[in-house]
Amino acid sequence: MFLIKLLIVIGSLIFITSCNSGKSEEEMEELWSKAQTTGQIIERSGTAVNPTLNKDLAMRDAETRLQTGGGLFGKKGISMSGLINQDTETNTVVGSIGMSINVYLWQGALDTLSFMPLSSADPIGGTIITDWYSSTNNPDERCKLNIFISGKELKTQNLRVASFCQNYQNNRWVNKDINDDNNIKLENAILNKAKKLKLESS
Amino acid sequence: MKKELLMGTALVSTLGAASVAEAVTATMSGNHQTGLEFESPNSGTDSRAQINDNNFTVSLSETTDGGMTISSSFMLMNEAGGGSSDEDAGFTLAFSDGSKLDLLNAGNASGSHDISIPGSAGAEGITTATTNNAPTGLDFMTASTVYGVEYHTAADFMVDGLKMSFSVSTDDDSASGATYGIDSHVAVGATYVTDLGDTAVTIGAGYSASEGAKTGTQMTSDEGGIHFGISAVTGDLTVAVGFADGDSIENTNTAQSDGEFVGVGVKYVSGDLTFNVGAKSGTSKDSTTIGTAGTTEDAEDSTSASISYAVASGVTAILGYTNKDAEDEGAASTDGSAWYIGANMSF
Repeated sequence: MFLIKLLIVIGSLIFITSCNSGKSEEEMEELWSKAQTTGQIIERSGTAVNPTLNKDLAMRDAETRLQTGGGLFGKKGISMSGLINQDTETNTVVGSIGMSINVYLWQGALDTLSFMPLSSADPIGGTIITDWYSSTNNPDERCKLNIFISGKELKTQNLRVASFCQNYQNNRWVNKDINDDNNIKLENAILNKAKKLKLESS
Repeated sequence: MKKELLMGTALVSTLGAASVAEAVTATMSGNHQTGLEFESPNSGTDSRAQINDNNFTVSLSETTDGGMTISSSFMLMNEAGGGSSDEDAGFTLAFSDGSKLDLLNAGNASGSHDISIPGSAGAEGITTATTNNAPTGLDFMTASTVYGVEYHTAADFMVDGLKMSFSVSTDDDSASGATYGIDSHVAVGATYVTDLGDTAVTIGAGYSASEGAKTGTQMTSDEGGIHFGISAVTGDLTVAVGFADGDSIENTNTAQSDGEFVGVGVKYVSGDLTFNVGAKSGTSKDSTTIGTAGTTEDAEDSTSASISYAVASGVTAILGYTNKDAEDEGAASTDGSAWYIGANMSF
């Protein structure tokens, strides 16, 4: 019995030390940002509720903040120094001069699509158009994306993704039917990235 | 400006002069939950109630020139606690290497590493018998006292993907009273993250052991146990399962319980909508004579689901449903189903 326990412990140690070997710092950060223990969820949400005193409340507040990309007044709430000193500099919502669109959606879209070559990106009009892209796993298929961002608020209605894919058949590229599911998945990925960016910056 | 503020009194006094020095960052935040609950017990009459749970928290933090952040928070108002203020607080020292040390009200390291099992996000609940001591969560045995510390290592502690916490606490005064009280605990918890292809995997586990006493006499049964859980996130889908086994002291320290808990849940995010489905099962052999093992079993099996919609930053609208089957001392007990519709607001 002791031998079996010892083997389990040794096997677990080998598993733990080998799983993440070779991963970059960014890859590990990405993994930690998806960690699902209650402690990690509470920590990355920015809630001020002490989980030791009320864990259910801390989790409820954390889930609300993570689902919506922060609180009504940003990740950390209302700054008292801002109220006392009218220090608007520290309370100003992150924005960008000249942009009539939500900066987090814009940055989230660029980050999410960073693996694709861009054909054009217009921050004033809120359009991102990629060039044709094929993956090494499937070189006979290529896709192109048009992303439209409208409005200053971080919400689904302000984001639309249109994808166009083609298959290489008989020495020419043939259009495929539009896949709405893929468009929705891309919109979700961009929205989630935008919420993370907002949480990190607020 | 050289800033070396290590004492709580210094933090508070500096807050009072914030307009001069601005040494401390002080923020106010809170959570407001309100909605309607429709409860339908299997025996008895249906009822409806307004759910209201509001709180308001003040947080203070300061970063020294050395990079260490000292922070504290206290809840000014907790309506769920009867409208009174909750003055319990503690300090957290966050070090520049990413590790943290909680001082006072630090909690139990095992409870920081339990896997979050998806389930209804609503506030609906079924009132069960007060003598039903079946556990309803993975961390049901993670006792601690106010006078404790908890140390959290930085991420990637020793090996990539590992994070650990350790905690200890003590309270001889509490254990000298006529009612059972925790006088010490030690606990350890660990989180490990890795991936399998495109799936991010989190493994969480914890061990806790507490000692308790009544009128200064040690009891033969104390709180403590283990929990283990695993969660997988692939795209917008999260699946989690967890198991816990241990002893706990229940009913305001008047009953002991030897319990087990199993939970499984799924969460799916689609744009502004989040869908949660979960199933939980807890069993317990309890006794009202602390030190004497119980013989008959209490049980709570629940299934729940919810849809929440992100209305705006900090605001969600929630529709939730829970169904619960319960047994107390081996016999069918108060159970039933409940609906909830309401909103959460974080600010």
